[in-house]
Amino acid sequence: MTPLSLYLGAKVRGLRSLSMVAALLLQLFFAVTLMANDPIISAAEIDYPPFSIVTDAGRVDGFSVELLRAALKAMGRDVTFRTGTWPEVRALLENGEIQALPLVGRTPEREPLFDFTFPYMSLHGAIVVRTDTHDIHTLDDLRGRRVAVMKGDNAEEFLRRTDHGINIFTTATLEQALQALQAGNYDAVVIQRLVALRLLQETGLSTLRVIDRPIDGFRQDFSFAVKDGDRATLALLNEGLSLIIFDGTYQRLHAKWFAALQLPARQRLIVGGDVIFPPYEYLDNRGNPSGFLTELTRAIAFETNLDIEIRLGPWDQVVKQLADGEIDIIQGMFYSPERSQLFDFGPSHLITHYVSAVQRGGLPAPASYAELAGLRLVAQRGDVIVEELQNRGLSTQLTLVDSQEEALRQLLDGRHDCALVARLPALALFEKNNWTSVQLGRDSLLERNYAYTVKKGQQALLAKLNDGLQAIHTNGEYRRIHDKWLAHYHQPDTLWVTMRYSAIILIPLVLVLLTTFLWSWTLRRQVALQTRQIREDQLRLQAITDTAQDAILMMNPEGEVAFSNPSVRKVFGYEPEEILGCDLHSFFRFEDLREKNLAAITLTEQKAMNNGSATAFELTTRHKDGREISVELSLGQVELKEGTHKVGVIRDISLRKAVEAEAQQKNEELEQFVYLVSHDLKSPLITISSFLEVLQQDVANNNTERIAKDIHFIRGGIDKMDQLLTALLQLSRTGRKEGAPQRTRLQTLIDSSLAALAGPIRDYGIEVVVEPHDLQLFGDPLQLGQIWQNLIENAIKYRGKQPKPRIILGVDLSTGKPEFFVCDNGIGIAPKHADRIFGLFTQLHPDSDGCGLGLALVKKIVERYRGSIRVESEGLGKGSCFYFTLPESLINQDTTI
Amino acid sequence: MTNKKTRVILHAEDDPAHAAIVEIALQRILGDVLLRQVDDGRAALDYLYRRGSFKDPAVSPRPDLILLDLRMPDVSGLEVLAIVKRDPELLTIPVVVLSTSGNEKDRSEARACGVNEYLTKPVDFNKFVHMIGEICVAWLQRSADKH
Repeated sequence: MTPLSLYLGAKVRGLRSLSMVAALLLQLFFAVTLMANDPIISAAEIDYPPFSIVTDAGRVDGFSVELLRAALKAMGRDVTFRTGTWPEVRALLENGEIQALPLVGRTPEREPLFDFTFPYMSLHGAIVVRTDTHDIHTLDDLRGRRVAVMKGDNAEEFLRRTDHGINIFTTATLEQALQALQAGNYDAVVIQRLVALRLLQETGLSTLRVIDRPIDGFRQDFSFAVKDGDRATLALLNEGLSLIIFDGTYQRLHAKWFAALQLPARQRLIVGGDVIFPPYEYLDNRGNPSGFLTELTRAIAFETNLDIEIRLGPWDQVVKQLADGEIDIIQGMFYSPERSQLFDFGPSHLITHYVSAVQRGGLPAPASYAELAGLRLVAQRGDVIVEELQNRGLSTQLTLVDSQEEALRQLLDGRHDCALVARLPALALFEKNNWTSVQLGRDSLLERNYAYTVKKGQQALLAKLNDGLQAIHTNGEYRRIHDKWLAHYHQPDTLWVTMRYSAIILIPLVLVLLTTFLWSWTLRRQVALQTRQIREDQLRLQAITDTAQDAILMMNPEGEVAFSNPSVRKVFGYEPEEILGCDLHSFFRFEDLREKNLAAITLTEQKAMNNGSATAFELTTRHKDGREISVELSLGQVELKEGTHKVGVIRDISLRKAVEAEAQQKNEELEQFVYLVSHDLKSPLITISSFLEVLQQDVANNNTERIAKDIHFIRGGIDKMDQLLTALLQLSRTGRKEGAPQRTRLQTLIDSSLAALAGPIRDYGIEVVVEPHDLQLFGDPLQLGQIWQNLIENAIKYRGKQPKPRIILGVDLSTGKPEFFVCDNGIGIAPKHADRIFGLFTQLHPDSDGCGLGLALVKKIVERYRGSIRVESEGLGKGSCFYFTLPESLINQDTTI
Repeated sequence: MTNKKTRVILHAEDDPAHAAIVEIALQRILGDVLLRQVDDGRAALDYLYRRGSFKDPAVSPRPDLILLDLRMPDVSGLEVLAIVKRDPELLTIPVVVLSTSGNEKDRSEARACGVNEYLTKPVDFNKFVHMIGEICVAWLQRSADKH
């Protein structure tokens, strides 16, 4: 046997014992849980032997009653019985006064009233007549006769189901029916066969007989019944019934109640057996029957008070004798389907294995039928193994001899290759004959139940034997006999057995250890895997929060900062560690900013209370250095073990806000620009259009003076438009086109500007004073020059009626931050217009030429260089000063170019 | 209708060309009006309050209608309008704004200051003559009725 098959064998055995333990536990469980339940109430008929009777002592008894009692006991329930006639007990169940009836034939009429368990017995109907009646054999013979049945009995239902032309009478009990039959009131009684037999025996109504022929179609299945729909009780009964059929209780009860009815009339029973089948049965030294079975049979006979005689003979003859009825019982026969055609087998009292036998040192003992192919085989004639070999087509190789002893002897003589023998008897024969050179195969070829066997139909006898067997099992006699005869042959295997038992224990142990190891290894692997996963998740998360440009804060349920990322430094100026544990609200709840944030704070609180989902708000808060910053706060939350944590993602939107403000300003500028263009361009258009109309008429009237005037106005309008368009073009260029920045001396810029304006300066006799300076500017020389030129041009334009116009220009370094200036002594500006003059198309003086773009252009250039410009004037007629600054990065005081 | 007195219209306009257009237009419609033209809001106020060169009532008769340009260098038409309409002495004089642009902001501001009529100057001269003629006749008529 390989270790694997060894292990498997052990495992199967283990499983079996495990299932046994499980079944035990289950029963225990049921017993414990159901014991407390109230008893089931049932009812028994008073005279339906042997199924249901009431004894003289007033106790309900009978096969069905005991069966119900046993079934419920198996389910841990008690039962109490009420009594009555069939119509009475039936009414009790119909009315729900009882829960179950032990014996109800299942008929179509009863289906709607009751639910039935599976049938535990099928009975056949029979006709009972007086012994002097000879013309009644079948149901048809009852036509026109007076026939009695018990009221409500299956027999009544059966007879009324189809019209047989019978005059049916009913009685309250079966006994009444039979007595009336004997008295000649009826011609026959229709009744269950078994019941009739029993009743006749009990009542001693000797002038009646049961017709020994079943009634066609009157076969009745008997079941327990419950009220229609009572599924709980039905399930209980079905399960209990299964259990007692399985555990042999049913068989025992059946034997007890029915066996006596059918026992053969002959008193002494002849028991047959094989003459040489040790240790089961054989003749001892003095020629007396002996062996395990012989002793068993004697013990059973003693228990059941049977008178027996044991006759052992050649096996095939013994079998023939039983078939012919010369003997009553064979004390040990293996069950086979073929044999069950002829004989009835009792419960098995032993399991025997058939094995192969070979000469030691020859070929190995075959372990399967396949290995028998081609071998010369020998077996005992009539043995159960022979049928098996024949069925497998091995009969041509098979030689039959009279006994196993003969078969083994011939094997030893070398006349056959292999003998097929029952294992235990073979071992006994080895011992008896001192044969040592025969070896038996370990693997069972055939496993058969060894049982008492009777001729077909002798169920009662079998039941009796069974009863006896049960009894000696119970009183320990069986064990004693078994040990005396058979235990001996199990001895040689002690080492093998030890190994097997060790294996049974060790292998599961090793398996458990292995499983445990595997399990813990898997577990550790899982933990390692998950730990790595968690670690990686952490790293991922950290990478995200570290990379984020936004400040990320997490607040614990107490409102303290529990997490902060590095960008907290960028947004708020705090170190991430610095604010751990601080109250997060303090970052947003500056009292002086409360007014600004009121709307956002209210909204936040509302939303947070409503759903807690991520929401974003714009807030004004404070940097660590005290300056106000605009932030966008996105709020979310997460449920952790300690409670709700709030997550805040804070984005610095100061820059965005600034850009937005700038864009807003640009928009307004653009709006203004469009307005101005629409106004200032339309104005000369109206002039031109109107004077063309006037001109037409003046030409018609030949008004020369007016014609010249009209043309003058038209030309003026055209000039104005031209100026405007030129200036607009220049303005738009200022934004877009910029030359490469370079260092230019301030002096150069001023000089070239003055050169460009040399004409008007000379014409109007303007004195220009340039204050000394030695700076360099870094930028587009053309644009920087434009600033100076436009400012000087402006000063010239608005010189007024000043007799000695003068322009002073230069740079003031006194404040440390260079401030460039262009001052004049011209018409000056009213303070209220100081801002307006830098606007587009703003001309404060109606009689000046130009289009009001010069200063707007200057402002635009200065602001492009991120400088600033302003004007100072003490009022109209008092001259004005334009000051502008440029960033220090563009100014170089070093003159060494 | 009585013609005892010559109607006086005060017109403030900084653009000489536009001033000329209005003058020609009014000449064509209303032959007998006296048109007084100034080139700035400040001058218009001086006229109305008879200050400076306008001291002499003969030089500056009370106008029956004021026409105002909005965009003027020193004092805008809107400022003049506001002052006139706040002055119990002057507020009965109808004021018509002659605007170059049809800007809605200007229009609503003028309306808020109590302007009587707001006219956007059309490019077509004949159309302008027709419009300003109708407006002036209507407001001069009303002004006369109040007297």
